[in-house]
Amino acid sequence: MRARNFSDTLNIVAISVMLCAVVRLAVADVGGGMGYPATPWRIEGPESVLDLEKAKALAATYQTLSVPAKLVDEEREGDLLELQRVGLVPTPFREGDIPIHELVGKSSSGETVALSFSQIESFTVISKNEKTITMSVTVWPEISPEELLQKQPTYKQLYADYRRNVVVDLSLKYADGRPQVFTGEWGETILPLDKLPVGVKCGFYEEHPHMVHPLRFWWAIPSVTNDENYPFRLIPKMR
Amino acid sequence: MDNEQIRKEISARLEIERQVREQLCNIEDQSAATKKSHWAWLDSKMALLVIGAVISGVLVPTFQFTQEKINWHRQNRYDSLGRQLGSIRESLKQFIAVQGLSAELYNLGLEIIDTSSAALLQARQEDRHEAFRALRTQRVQQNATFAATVFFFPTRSREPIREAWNNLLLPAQKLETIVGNLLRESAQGSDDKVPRKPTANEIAVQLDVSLAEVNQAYERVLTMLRQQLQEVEHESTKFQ
Repeated sequence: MRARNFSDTLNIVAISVMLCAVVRLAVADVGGGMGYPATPWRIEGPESVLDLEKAKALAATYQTLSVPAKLVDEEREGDLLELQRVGLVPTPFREGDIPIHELVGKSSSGETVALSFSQIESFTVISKNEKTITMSVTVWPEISPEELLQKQPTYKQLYADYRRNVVVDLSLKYADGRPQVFTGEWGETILPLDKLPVGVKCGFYEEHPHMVHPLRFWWAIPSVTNDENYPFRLIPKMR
Repeated sequence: MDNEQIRKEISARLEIERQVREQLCNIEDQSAATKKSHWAWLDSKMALLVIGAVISGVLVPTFQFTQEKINWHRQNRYDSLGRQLGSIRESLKQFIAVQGLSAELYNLGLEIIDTSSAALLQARQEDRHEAFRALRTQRVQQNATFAATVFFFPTRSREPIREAWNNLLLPAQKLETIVGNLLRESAQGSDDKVPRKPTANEIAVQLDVSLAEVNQAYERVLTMLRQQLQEVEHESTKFQ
């Protein structure tokens, strides 16, 4: 096909752009569904701070921790191991033990710090010795339910502004001497804290944004999810 | 000692030396004759004929048979792995079809949630019930079709696959129940007898949560199936 004049060229370019857009839409929707935002506030936002507090407490139990798979299986170099509904438990696990969904340790000034999994983006191991492991934890979103409800930030604002780093020393063992381990929903894989090497980075947002659990995002109120930059969408997984 | 005596001694010694040399020669000749006699038969035409017959009649066919046997085993294993690969790929296809039905159920649920007009909801009520019944039947059939194909996987992997598959059935059933409830409620309208009806947001989140759980359980099974497929593919390349 040859363009005879300028308007023909424009038409060809416009049709090509439209075809590309159609293909992109088709690929994005290949699993079916319309890609609704993954959020506990799907139809309406929280009515009170209490609603947000409840959602935040629940969200801590639904987080997914991604760690390098080679830490538990040396043959899986380059893969990520995802621990869904991650918790910290003592091993061996006994009747009555409850998974903890926060990192509890001491800050450099000696204060006790408790960082909920619902507000952690990632952590990096800085150092460790026989008794403790020191982590640099990136806290995100560092915003209280009151502030979230009051400021109604967009996803872009929340992502850019509400982040801080905290250095925390965690004990490798529980008071009764049993080692602390990360474990996931299915419990088949455990990752002892002392197996984390210095320099390793573990993230809470490494999952595919279409494979996430909606109850994780307590902070995804309508002002956040209405932002087109909000990446976490629900689409039936197909491939 | 006079000269005569010396000469006699010298000649006696020379005589002894000559005798020793003669004896040595005799011994060497005898041993050469003995050696020759051991292998002499090889020089005969009969021996050559027999050796030729053994090589061409026994050794070569045995070697060829062994070679054929190895090739035959190799080909058999390759064919059997090829058939297994085909079956595993078919199983993967059936498994993806299972997820296709869950996706359709989710879309049906979304359609009910997203229809804000009660009149519109009522108008398509019968069609939705029909679609739901069809999906439910198809899901049961598709589940059975996939479950039957787990036998095609290597023995050691069957149990973990079955376990992960059972873990998928639970959230998939939950998704079906939620969509069924949505359909029933949309048909009945508001029911005052229910002490606390879930809000529209709670219903939508329940639907999303069940999809997320189906997705995560599906991913686990799919990863296992893919891993097994890769292992069998890798094994089959060894026999090419």
